[in-house]
Amino acid sequence: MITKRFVLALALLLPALAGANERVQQLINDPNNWAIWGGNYAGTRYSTLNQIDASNVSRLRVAWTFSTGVLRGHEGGPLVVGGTLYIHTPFPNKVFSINLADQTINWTYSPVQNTATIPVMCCDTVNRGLAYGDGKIFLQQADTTLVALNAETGQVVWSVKNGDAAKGETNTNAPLVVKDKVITGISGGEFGVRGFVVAYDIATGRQVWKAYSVGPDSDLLVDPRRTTNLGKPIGANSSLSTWQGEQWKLGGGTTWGWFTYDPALNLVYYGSGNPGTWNPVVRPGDNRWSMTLFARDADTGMAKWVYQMTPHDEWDYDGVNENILFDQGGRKLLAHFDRNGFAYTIDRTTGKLVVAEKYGPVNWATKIDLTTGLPVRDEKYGTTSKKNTEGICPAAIGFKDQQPAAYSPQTGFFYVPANNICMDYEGVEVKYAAGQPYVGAIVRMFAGPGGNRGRFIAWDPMKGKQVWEIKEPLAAYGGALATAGGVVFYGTMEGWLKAVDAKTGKELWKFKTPSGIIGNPMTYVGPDGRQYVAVLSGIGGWAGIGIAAGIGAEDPTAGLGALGAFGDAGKYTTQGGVLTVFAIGGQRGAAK
Amino acid sequence: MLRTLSLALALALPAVALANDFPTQARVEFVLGCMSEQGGQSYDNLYKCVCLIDAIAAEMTHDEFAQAQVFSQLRSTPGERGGVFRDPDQAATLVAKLAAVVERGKAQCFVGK
Repeated sequence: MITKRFVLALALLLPALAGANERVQQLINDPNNWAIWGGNYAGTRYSTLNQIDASNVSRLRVAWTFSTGVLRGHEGGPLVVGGTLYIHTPFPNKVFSINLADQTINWTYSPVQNTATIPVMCCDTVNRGLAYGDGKIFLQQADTTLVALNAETGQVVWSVKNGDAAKGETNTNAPLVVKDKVITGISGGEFGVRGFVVAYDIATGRQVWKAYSVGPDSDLLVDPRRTTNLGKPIGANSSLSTWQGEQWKLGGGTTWGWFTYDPALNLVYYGSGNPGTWNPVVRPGDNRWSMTLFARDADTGMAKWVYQMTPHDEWDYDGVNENILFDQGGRKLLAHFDRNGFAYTIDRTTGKLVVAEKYGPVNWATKIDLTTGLPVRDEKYGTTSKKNTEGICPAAIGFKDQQPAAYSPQTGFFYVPANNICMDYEGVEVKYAAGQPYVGAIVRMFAGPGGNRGRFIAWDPMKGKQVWEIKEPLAAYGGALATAGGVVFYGTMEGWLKAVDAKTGKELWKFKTPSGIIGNPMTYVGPDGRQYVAVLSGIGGWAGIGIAAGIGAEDPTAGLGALGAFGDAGKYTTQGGVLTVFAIGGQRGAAK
Repeated sequence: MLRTLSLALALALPAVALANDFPTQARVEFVLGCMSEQGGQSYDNLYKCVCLIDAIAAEMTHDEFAQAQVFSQLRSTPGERGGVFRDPDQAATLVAKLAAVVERGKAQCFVGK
């Protein structure tokens, strides 16, 4: 109790917390809210709520549900701000504001977007959610429109175009509010899009800064002398010198993942995706700064440090996964579980490597050299357009994709939804045409060693070692949530939401939601003072008994752009994605 | 030896050997969806759909069924994400098994389309 008062007093003394958006920081500090995608700026997806704990989680029951009425994959999760829940949908990217007192809809935002956007979205028409700040809800639509909605009314305050769908530029990411800015990225790594991160003024939507992943120094927003790579200045033309000719113009390095922020350092953290085409033969060089972690000054966009995890990518190991900020042993660190199969613990002030270890059965590289930062490759698993390389682990989707992990300061462990998928990979010649897929590889995926496709693991970031593991039969595409109740939540493709013991991984409870889960569980306290846990389910498609057995195994690359074929959304509207909200029943207070 | 024996048993008693472990929730969910596909809630459709889910549950475990559903639903997801559900041999095997079980069940239970 004393501790709690003390913390509260501290919070009152330091309301601005060194420059974060003051109001957003206050909302985040109240654990009854879930005011930002990761629960906080550090992206830990950890809640200090503890009404639900290991002893009573087995009594969780469905309190209410909300159908979005939209099919396709439902990624991300809702925000809760002061008794209101905000939830988004995949294309057409509706937003609902829901009064938590009675679960009625306050307002709905239904944008009209050109359906030509759909075929240029590489990997399902997903959206990863909203940002709150300045009395507004920010939505990054698929057609690249960033829209600011009045949080009270749903009216559009301003909107700005962030890209051009005709060139294959689309958006799937959740924006981030920092101070007086909204920060967002761009998708389209399979369409030769040159990635960037951009900051818009929170009040007007005016562009403040824009920083590309590849190209000339002026576009990158780097200082050749002050921006560092593993502690050393990156020097002039750090990106241009690693590309042949004009190839950087189709250089990729898109920025469709999650963004985190350290208010004390004033740095925004994110990663960039694959370089240009997937065929490595046609783009000699390190292809900087694709597959790179960036730490940028939130005010100016200037890069403080960069670190490229997979130079000259040959496997589509996008570096976009989230960077979760945490402190251990008096050090300011971040953890990043990359698609390439290595888990990186990095000094988030300097960008220097602390730990880099495999978190799955990686075979394309034996280890990461902590001094040079380079992976030590096994040539056997390099890819070319000359032959089909077999048995590469991990597959292109990585041992982990965008689904965000959680970090519990109680245990000091990370909780990571991971895949166990390997692949055969063959590069193919491809010509660039604006708005056409620019993939250039044939990939075949299969279960890795052991035969299970998914894993949920606890990870010690200082030892670089797995603490426990739950084998999942299917790939893990949903995020994680850790709570002060000592319980960790995650969803599975079959639709199970599971609660496990944070220390041991023992399964404590599970419930089958209406569809597969690729969303991220979150928790909040409702107006009745009760703790709730909510998760989106919806992996697209309604099976019923009309089992789609007739669909043969298509060419995966031909599948790119075939999304328009899903014309049956209207028929099964009530079978769309569902937000399922759980609580422990009975009288408030009797829960413990 | 044991393995051979259990294999032989499994072949001899294909239906009985299985768990028949579908939770109530899974059965109700299936029946509601099935009735909806058959044109709505009626005793006619109720009997057919209950018969069908019983037929499925007699031949597959719930885990198998749940995984087969995911593979069926996600085969047509484009790009690499769909590849995970399209490429594995087990996906094709499970999807084919489910389709065959449903086909037999439909015939037994007078489920038309």
